[in-house]
Amino acid sequence: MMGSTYALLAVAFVIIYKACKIFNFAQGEIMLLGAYFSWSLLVRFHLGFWPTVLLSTLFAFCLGFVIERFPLRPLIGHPILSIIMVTLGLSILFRSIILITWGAVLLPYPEIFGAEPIRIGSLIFSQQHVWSFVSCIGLLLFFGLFFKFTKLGLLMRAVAEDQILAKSAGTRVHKIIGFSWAIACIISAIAGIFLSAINGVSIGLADYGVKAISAALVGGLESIGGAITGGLLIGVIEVLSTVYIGHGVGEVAAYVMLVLVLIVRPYGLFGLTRIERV
Amino acid sequence: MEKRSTLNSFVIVMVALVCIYINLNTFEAEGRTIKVAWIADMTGPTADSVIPMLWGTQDWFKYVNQDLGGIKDVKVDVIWGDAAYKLDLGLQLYSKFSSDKDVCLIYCATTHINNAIAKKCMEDRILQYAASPAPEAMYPVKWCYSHSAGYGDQLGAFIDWALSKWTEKRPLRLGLIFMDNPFGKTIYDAGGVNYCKARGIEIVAEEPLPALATDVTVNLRKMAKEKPDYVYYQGTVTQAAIIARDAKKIDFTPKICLSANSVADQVVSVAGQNAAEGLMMMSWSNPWHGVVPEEMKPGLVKTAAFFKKYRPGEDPSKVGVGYFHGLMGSMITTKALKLASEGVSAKDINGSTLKGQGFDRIKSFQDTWDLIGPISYTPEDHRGGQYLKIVGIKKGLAYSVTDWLRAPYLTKDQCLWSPHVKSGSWIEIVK
Amino acid sequence: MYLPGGTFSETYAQDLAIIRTKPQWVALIALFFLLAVFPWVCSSYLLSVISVIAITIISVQGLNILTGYCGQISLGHAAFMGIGAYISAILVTKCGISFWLSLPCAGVGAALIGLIFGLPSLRIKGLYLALATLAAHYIVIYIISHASGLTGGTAGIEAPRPMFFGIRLDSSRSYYYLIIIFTILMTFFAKNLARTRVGRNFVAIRDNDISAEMMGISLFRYKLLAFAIGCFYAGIAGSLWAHYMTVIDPDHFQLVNAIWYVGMLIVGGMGTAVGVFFGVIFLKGVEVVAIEIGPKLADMFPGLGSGIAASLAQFLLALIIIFFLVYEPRGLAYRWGVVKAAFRIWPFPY
Repeated sequence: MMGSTYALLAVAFVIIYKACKIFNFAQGEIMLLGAYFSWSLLVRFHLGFWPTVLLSTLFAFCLGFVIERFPLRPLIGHPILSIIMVTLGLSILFRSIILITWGAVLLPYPEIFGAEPIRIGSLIFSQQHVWSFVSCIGLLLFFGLFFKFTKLGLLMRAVAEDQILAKSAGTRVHKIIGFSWAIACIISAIAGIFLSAINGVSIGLADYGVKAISAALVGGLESIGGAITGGLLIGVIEVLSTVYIGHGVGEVAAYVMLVLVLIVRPYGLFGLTRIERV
Repeated sequence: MEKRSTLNSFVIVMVALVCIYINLNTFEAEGRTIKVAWIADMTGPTADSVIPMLWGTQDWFKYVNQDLGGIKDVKVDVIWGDAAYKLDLGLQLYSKFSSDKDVCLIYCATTHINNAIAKKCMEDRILQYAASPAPEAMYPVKWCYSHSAGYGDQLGAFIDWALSKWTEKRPLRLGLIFMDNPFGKTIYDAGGVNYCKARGIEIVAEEPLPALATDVTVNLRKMAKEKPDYVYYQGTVTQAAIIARDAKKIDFTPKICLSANSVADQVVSVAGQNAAEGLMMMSWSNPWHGVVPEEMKPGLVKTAAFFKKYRPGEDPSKVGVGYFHGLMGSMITTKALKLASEGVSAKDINGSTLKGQGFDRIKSFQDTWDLIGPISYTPEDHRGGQYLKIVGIKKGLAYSVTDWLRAPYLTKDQCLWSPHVKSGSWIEIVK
Repeated sequence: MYLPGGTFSETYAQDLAIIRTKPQWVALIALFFLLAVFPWVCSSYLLSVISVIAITIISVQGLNILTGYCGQISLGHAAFMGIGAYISAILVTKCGISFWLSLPCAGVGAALIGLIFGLPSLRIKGLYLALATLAAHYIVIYIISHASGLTGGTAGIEAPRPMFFGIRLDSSRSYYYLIIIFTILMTFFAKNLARTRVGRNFVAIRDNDISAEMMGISLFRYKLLAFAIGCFYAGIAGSLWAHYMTVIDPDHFQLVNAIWYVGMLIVGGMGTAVGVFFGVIFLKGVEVVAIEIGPKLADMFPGLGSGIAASLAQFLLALIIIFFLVYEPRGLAYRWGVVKAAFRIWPFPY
């Protein structure tokens, strides 16, 4: 069940990778921004759960466009590594913004899902986990359809395939990349809400971003379904290795798996295989 | 052309920053001012606990300088730097602080920085003050002081208490949960687990948790199969809350005791009142917020008012144990300064005199606003507080399960403890 | 290669020389002189900053060979440094070997382990490889912190300062000389490597691995060689780091460090030895300024609170980095080249 949060973050990661071929090192911090923002709405402004989700989504949407507009658009055409470095800078920037606005102390998150666990036979799940699992599946379906049937989704796929070609076909590439960032930010923010409902909000949550990277990779960087599978798989592996091996292996098991997958299937489980022949 | 102008403005900004820096450095203070320095993690992963510590220190010395008029004309200036949990920055800050003649003492709450500067501190004759006593900082004895019993001692004291209640014939079964990092494993490093074994405890389950765990159901279920009587947890308060919640979820019934880093009001606010019900936690201090009213001693009322005065608008349940550490470190330093200034003149106060005339002469220091048990140092032992108490949670409020317990006094290497522990009459309740 | 007017080679040896003109010799000697007198004039604070920068430069030079020349992105560099540090510390404290032997051992050990984690590079490349090395980081750190019999686990291990002809290099000044000498040597080696057959093969692989293979360059051999050399540098840097700190634990080698090493390389400019210097000095410098500014801000605006002041400093740091990258995405080494070219033809515009 834990895997579903990884999966959400991994999806956000993959969407950005698909659209602009960059690694977003600021993933964890974007998630945190969403979490802190929703905390403010819930606790400071006493809004209900659904208005909070709606407003946080809106906030994340704008954030995505802002990120695209300022640091990224001037860099189009420049080496990809510089852009990756910019996301690293963004991660410090967001972190400091969070520290300035909300401080560093641990903020308890109100109970939004109800504390009563859900029982299915002998299995017991806490509500947060069930909800994050459900929304993860929901998002998978939603984005599956979105990328297949809507115009925007198709355009995003076109941009992901080849930016120059898309541009010459009359697509406004900036806008599409902006949308990709916005969607990624929304998903991260939702993941942030789930995580902080479990953990409370603190700056340390940003480390989940890195975990998500490996989830995305196990599944394959180009595939959203793969990212979700990867995330869930990593969650399962962590649990299984805790049960059967112990000694805190859970933490590295994901990475060992990552290396193995990379050696056997270099493009991840569901990635696009590019065959290179000499 | 446009590019050049932006580059130029960049250069101008940098030059301006350097100028501001130089300008600020010309600031001069009057009279004898002693400096205490904080190598703090203000923006890194442990910022949530370290910033309140710095607050505590700053507030206390503000109080000393303004309300008490200094310590015999000596004022104390708190300077700090942000090491962001990075070792190289920590060392750079250390060499910056140590080149300042007025710096007598350095507070640091990042274990690996503390260890790395320990030797240099002794060479440079600067005292070190660690908020939480990592075993490496305490054995062998260095110039590092702390006010609290070590993490191993906490487990030891808990075991002592549990055994004193134990009536059955079979050995007591204990489960351990700890974070899989230096902080969590200090119960092993500090000899706590060895002590349990030496006292005949059967350790039935050991569960390391990844630092980012959000669901510990699996670990708890695995543990539940071994049927422990007590569970002891060492780690951060976030995970403590998760453990509390997941234990309620699967009806895991043994008594769970959290290590002293968790403060009752914080656990309640993160885990929720329902999940926190019935938890126990080791405590270095009397909690001063979220306590059942009859246990608010005068000193604790004073602390609560102090916090309100210096940090208006802050919620005391969010600062956790950090603020207490900050206050305690500075209260003890103030006491040491008082003792030292009896022996030597104000201008002779430095690291060495503060150690010899100050810290090492502190015996049964009790004027700590009821926050902590008596503090004593000897040249051979710098742990200070040897007393711990167990705090329980009832309806979201903290109450004392025990009065002050004497910690069993573990050392890292041989797991030797002081003679009165061996003899068996080891619980000494301080009234 | 651009040369000042009037410089030409008469012999093959002249053509090979790195330093070609008299002003360059003067500048070099002046630099060495400055480095030599530096610890006697500056504060111990500055000295510690410079020492850390110098160690970082060695490590990033290794990363430059691996990433800048050969195009294999590595996020495991901090872990490889950790391997070097631990090998050196264990050899010195547990086996009683002298530092001067354990230093190369650390380099070789790190290189061997780097080889193992370089193996996936044969099948994967680009960002996928970056993530395989990221996994390497976590695996290495896990092993270090769990093999407590050997490494001291999370509690760490001691690494005493080395002896030099009976003198223990205890002071930060004497150790500074050791670090600086190694930095110069390693830089010299890196600079020369780029001009050899091996270095050019690396560049060919970076630019297009398929055509490189068609030209008869063994990808297997040279990719692994790049990993080995890069990690050798990391190992040496790690060993120097360990004996500089005198006690190490796994927390010294965090993933953030590895990411920042890559960042330094990008900011400085990939594939140039001089870019490494620029990148490391720039980013470390900005970081130091940020640390300095935090408390000053708190003094200036007492209402601000220390936590916010420190974060504001970080905010400035991030802004500087982002603005820098937006306006100079090709790195400092490129700008350096432009400035040099401008001076070379000065005062004539063309």
